[in-house]
Amino acid sequence: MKGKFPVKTLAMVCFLVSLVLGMTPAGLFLGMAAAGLAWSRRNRHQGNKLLSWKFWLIPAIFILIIPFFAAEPNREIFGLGFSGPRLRQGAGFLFRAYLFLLVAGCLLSDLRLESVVAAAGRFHLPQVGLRLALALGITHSVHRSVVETWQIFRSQRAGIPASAREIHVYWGALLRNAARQAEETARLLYLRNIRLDRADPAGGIAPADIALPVLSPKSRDKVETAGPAEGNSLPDGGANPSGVGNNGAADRVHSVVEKYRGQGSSRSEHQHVRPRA
Amino acid sequence: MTGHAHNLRLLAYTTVFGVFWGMVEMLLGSYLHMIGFPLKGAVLAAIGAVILCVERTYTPVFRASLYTGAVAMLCKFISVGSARLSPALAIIIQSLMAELVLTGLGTRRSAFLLTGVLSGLEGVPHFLIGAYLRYGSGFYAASRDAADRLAKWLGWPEGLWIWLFIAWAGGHLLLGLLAGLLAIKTAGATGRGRRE
Repeated sequence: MKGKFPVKTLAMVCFLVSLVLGMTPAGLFLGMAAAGLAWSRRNRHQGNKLLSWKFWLIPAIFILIIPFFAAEPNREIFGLGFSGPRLRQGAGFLFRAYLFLLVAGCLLSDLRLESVVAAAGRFHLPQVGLRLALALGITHSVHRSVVETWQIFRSQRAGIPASAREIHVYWGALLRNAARQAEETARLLYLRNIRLDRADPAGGIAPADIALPVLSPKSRDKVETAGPAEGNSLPDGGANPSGVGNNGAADRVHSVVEKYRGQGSSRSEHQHVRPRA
Repeated sequence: MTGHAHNLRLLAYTTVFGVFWGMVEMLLGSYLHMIGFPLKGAVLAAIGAVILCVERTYTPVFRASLYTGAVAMLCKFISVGSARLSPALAIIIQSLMAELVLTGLGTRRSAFLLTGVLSGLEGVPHFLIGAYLRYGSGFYAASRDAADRLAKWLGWPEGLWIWLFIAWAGGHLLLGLLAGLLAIKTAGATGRGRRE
């Protein structure tokens, strides 16, 4: 029964009603109920973040300072006017913030890209599924491109001011690489006759089909020995290595493409999606 | 180019650029958050504006910016280990604004500039609405009251909070303008720039 009881839905309903009721006893009770329900379904990372003192330090300091500068102090602390009602109000702010983060985190904690892809397949949304599967397939190579290009860019410029002055060169290189990867992906999809205007015959792809290793041992060797891609240099003549290491990503894009491959292709494999002029 | 090839191209470009944006948000966003960088939301919005503008030069059709933003939003939304609701919402709002501007004005320089400015300024209402949702309606009055009392205590002129707010919103505007200029310059660096 544990899995069937709609704890998250109940937590969300309690939270929304508590927002409407505000700081009344009923609102506080429902807020506490929402917090309890959400806390029972929190994940480890979220729990750590919400319990971290660093996370709450700045809001807490702000809340503690406000009563000293309130317009209607009702007591003195350290020789300064202090407002008790303002402190209670501030505590209410903190409680609401905690509740908001707890319930939002609880509702979203189980969401993963793979589960969204699988859901898109179930709801007959092949374009969404293909887009997400492609996103998963290229994530690692894009990550590598961003990091490696930055390292090369920084190593060729002395200090932060020089890098900041020519930051558009870095962005240009990154975006050109992204465009090149997109063009290759579009070409691959076209050659494999992936159709976007009809439902996926396979009924979507399973998360297990996407979660392939980043690089096979063979392709990893290629990455480690490959030099900078030809014709892929920064405008100042520096080598841009972001073309290196796409073999694993290509494997994964291929696997995605295979799952979405259409039927009855009569198109020649030599036809290409032409780059725009 | 056939309609089919055109659709595939739109799909590939928006997905790749969306992942790229999401990756920058995750890497740089985490770093800026860690060091407590001021106006980090506006900095990330500015970078997003550059990516949206340059992407649009490759696929200058309606819905390209929305698709790019949707992919980036999903990447950010489902970051490793935790869901990030507020930045994900900011990404999709920014994409909607960019879509409207770039569909209406095309890929000219003025459109890039406007996209950057709107992206930078998105953080202002986003923060105010976010604070209202998190802390409740009394938050603004309490903050304003505290700022006024603090100014009085320090011997500064009354209405200090207005100037603080203007400086904060001005920082967003400045970063937005820089984003627009960087988008124009980067589009030139990728060979996709267009004169008015």
